[in-house]
Order: sequence, then C-alpha cells, then structure tokens
Amino acid sequence: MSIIVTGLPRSGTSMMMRMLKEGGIPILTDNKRQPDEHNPYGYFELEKVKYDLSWVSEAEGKAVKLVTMLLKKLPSDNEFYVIFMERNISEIVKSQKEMLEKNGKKMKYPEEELEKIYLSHLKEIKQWISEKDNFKVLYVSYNEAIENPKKIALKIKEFLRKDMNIERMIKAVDKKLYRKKAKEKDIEEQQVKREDEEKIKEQLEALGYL
Amino acid sequence: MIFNPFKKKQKKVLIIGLDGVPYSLLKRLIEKGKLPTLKEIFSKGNFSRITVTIPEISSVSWSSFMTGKDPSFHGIYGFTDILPGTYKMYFPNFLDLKAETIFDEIGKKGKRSVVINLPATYPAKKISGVLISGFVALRLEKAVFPKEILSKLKEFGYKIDVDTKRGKEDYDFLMKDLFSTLEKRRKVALWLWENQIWDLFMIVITGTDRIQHFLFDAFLDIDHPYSELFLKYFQKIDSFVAEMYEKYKKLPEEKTFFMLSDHGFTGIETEVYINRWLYENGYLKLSPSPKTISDIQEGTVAFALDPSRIYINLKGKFPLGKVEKKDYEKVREELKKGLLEMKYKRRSVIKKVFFKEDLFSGPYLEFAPDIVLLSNYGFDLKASVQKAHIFGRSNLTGMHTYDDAFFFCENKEIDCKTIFEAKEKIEKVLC
Repeated sequence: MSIIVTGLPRSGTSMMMRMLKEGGIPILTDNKRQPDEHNPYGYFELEKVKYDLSWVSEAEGKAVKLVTMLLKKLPSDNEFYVIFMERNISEIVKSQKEMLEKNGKKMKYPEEELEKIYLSHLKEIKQWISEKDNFKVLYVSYNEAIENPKKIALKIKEFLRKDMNIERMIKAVDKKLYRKKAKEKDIEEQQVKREDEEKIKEQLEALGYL
Repeated sequence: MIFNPFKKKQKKVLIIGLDGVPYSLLKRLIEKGKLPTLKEIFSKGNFSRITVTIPEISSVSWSSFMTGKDPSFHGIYGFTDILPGTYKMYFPNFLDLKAETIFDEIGKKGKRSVVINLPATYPAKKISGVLISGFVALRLEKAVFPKEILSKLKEFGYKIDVDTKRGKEDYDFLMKDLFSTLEKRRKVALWLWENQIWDLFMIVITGTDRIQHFLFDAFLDIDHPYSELFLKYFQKIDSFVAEMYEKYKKLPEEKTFFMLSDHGFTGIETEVYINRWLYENGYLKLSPSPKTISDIQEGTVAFALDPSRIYINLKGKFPLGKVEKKDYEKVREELKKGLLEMKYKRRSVIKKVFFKEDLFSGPYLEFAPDIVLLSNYGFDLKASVQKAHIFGRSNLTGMHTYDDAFFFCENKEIDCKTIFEAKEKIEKVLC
C-alpha cells in the first residue's frame, strides 16, 4: 500500500507531506526542488512521477506527492491510500498567480477561465476516483488543517490505520507561517485601500463633493 | 460581429448614456441646428424629460437605472456614506449594491451585455458579458471583467476618466483630456461591438458631466472663451452617436435604441454649505478646524453628508447621539421649517424638504438619511464642514438638477417619466 498526497498545485499538498513526515510516515522524495519563500519547509516532490511509473514499487509503505492531473496514470493493480487536499478554488488560483508573478512569469489563462478549468477537472477526477476499487480516499480541507490540525491529524491516523505521532503532526502545521503570510497580505491590502481612498477623495473633491 | 449560429430570433438593444446631460440643453442645441444626428434620431422616436433620484447624483441615479429601484432597495445613497453606528465615512461601491442589476437579470435569461463606463460599477463584478467600470473607478485592473480584455484596453490607451484634479485648474488641459478620453472610449466601444457577442450594448459618456461642472457658464454665455469648445465637445458626442447609430442600423436583428441621462445641469448662483447652516443655527457642534464629519462634537442635533442628506444625531444610533426618539419628529419639523426659510438674495434656497419616508420604502430604509433636500435651481448644496460661511463659490459653474434629465427611445410607444422605469422598459423589449 502506498500513500498518495494529491491536490491542485497550491492546495496544501506540501503541508500534508510535512504532516505525514512528522507523523512518522516515510516520504518518497528526491529533494530536488528546494524550499523557498512559498514553501519554506520544502516541496517533498519526486520529479520522476511526471515521466514514468518506475517509482511505484519504491513507494510501498511511503507517501508520495502527485498532482491530480497525474492520478490517472497510477496502475490499477496497486492499492493506494489517497489524501486529497482541497482548497477554495479562487485562493488556489490567486496563490498560483502570486507565485508565478514573483518568479517573473504569467499565468497561461485568465483567472476566471482557470478556475472553470480546475473545477471541471476536479469534478471529473473525483468521479474517476470514485469508480476505482484500488483507491481509498480521504478529502482534507486545507483551511481546516490550518485551523484545526489536531482534528485532521486524528482523521489521517484513522484513515491510514497507522500509529502516528499526533503531537508532531500538529506542530508540522506552522500556523504562524500562514498567519504571517496572511498578515503581510493584509498589510499590503490595507495600504492599497488607503491609496484608493485618497484617490477617490481627490476625484470627488475635484467635482465639489466632500 | 461574430456570427452565433445557435441564437434564434435575437433582439438587441443599444443604450447610450450621456452623464448629466439636461433635456433642456439638448433641446436648445437641437433647435439651433447644432446637433444634426440627435435632431434626426430624436425626431423619429420619443425624446422626453425625466426626473431622477434624490439626491440627484450619478452613483445613486445610475444605480437606480440599473436596478430599477430607489436607494432604499439598492443601498447606494451617495458617493459617501457613514458606517452604521459611527461618524466614519466610507465610499460605497459596486460591491455595496444590494439589488440585482438589469445585467444580472437578463444574464439569467441567457442574454449577454457589453457595458462600458457605467458609473457606480467599480470594482467590476462578473456579468454575463463584458463590464468596464465607470466613475469612481481607480485601477483599470479592477475595472474590467473579464480580465482577458485588459491587455487590449491598455493597448488602446483606455482611460477611465479625465484628470479632473488637474482639469479644474487648467481648462485647456481639461478640454484636451475630454476629447482624447472620448476618442479612446469610442475606439474601445467599436472594438467590443465587433468582437463580442452581445444582446445589450451600453456605453456611458461621462465627459458630459465633467465639462458642465467646470464650464457650464460656457454654455450659457456665447462670449465665454470656452463656449466654442463646449459646443464642439457636444458635437463630437453627436458624431459619436451617429457612428454608433449607423452600426446599429446595420444589425439584422430586431432592435431598439435608447439614450438617457442620469440628471440634468444648470448654472450655479451660489454653493450652499448645509453643515455650516446647521452649525450657525446651533444644530451642529464641531471641533476646531474640522476636516470631516468625524470631527463632530457632543451636543450635535443633526449633520449633513454630500450633497443634501441630513442625519438626525439620534441617541442609540450614533455614539454622540443627542436627540431622544420621542423628539425625532419635532426636530425634523423644526429643521424643515428653518431650511425652507433659508434665503439668498431674497430667493428661497430650498425648494422641498423630504423626510426619508417620502422618498424611500425599501429594506435598507434604516440607512437612509432622515431628511433629503431639493434646492431651487442655482443653489448647489454641499456638505463640507470646512466652510466659514453658508454661501460661497468654488471654480464649479454647473450643478445637478433632478427634473431635467432626458430619455429617448426610438420606439415612440416606449415612454419614461422617471429613471426608475427605464430598466423595465429595456428588459421588456429585450426578453
């Protein structure tokens, strides 16, 4: 049995991998993608999952990260425990956009279109999974994992039926990190709001209001 | 135009909004033969004078146009408002609009809209079609739905509005800016016309409001140095309407053409600072050198927000509330009497004093001003707390009017008396 942590990019799969690692589950990763500001604790990725299935035998008893787009490539004669990370689709797209922009890149599609594409893909892949006998699935909300990591850790323990270190799993969810990011974003948004208010005042004053 | 083979019998509507353009101004220019297109088009249909919302300002009026409802249903009472239970001012925007718009409603029936520069639609929300927000719209990135047209707008050099901060000091600049902004808007409109599938196409020209705010005297006085340019701008609008109308006429579908404005304009005799009147009559207490209404002091009975909204400082409703509920009616009556007695050079300033229940009856009535004023022509009501006198002038020469907006429909059987009726009439011909 292998554990697959899946989801769309920026849905919290790296955080889940860290939780599993801290909980005592061996992780299958090549550590090629190094931690950065977007994922300061690392990505826990295995590059070759994109190209072939040679890794499947190595993944026995371990956790592997796999984006949802690759799920259909998994062989039907192996059993998989799938932890499927879910997050608000707009948040995912925004987070992807921010990450790309910080790396000087642009999104291929407009946000609204990408949201539609993702929603349709998720619907289809969930249907596909539900028809597979060799998949056992646990859907995990990213936001719930941050807000209530204990509840999620216990759910995972029950799902995997393994003895796991719940305390370490809880600590793996760095609330401070997420709060810090949220706070930074909040400060940025407040600044934009203040600037916008000043501009509105200017425009209204010019026309004799205020 | 992209051919859409799946549509059966299509009906199309073109709406051109001319922000703040008075019925009387158009009539006069048409009679003088200055606006040949409008003369010809209007002669074929129903061109009439309409009333608008009170207060007679764009954010309120256009919100009422697109929802068909008064402010107590859509929640937009002005460009500014105060947060409930505070004296803290905020700027309501499209996200605060609480009623469904015509674009939402026809969208549910499978109709697509292209909406360009409609005031009070910022930030742009998702509609079935395309929306480019109008005043007050700050960032183009947030003023566009869907985002994919943003790059094209940037390519056209599209401007949401003219630079009024600079324009009010420099009329040469203002005129140049007005013409160039209109030209860019025109180009974007033509591009969307050709490249979008739509059932309702609406564009609002807001330069008409700006030019009248600063240069209404140039309309009244033919010897004014900007008189010719004022006329030229309206003739440019006439040409723009001609161009759009030619395109509209070529549409093979069943179609109807509308035009309207959201308020009228007239010349200013004097600005009237309502908060100063309240202050001098002992109803408003302010800290020394007040900047905004949040500088209110204990003992205040009433205060005003732009342009003509008065709030009774009720106990329990506001932090420094003074007026007991039992005295509410008495205070309103007293204010009404006093305000109606206000004179400027022997002329009555206030034409009518409305209590909120005279105008509003919707679910957001509790946020309505307790009193709304309607002034006589020439008296431009303002709510600044920084004025040292009740009467004064700024560089503005034009003020809004309530009962001199216009409505036009190519179909003579379609008539409107108020801006609230337009939505239903448009929906009826479209759906």
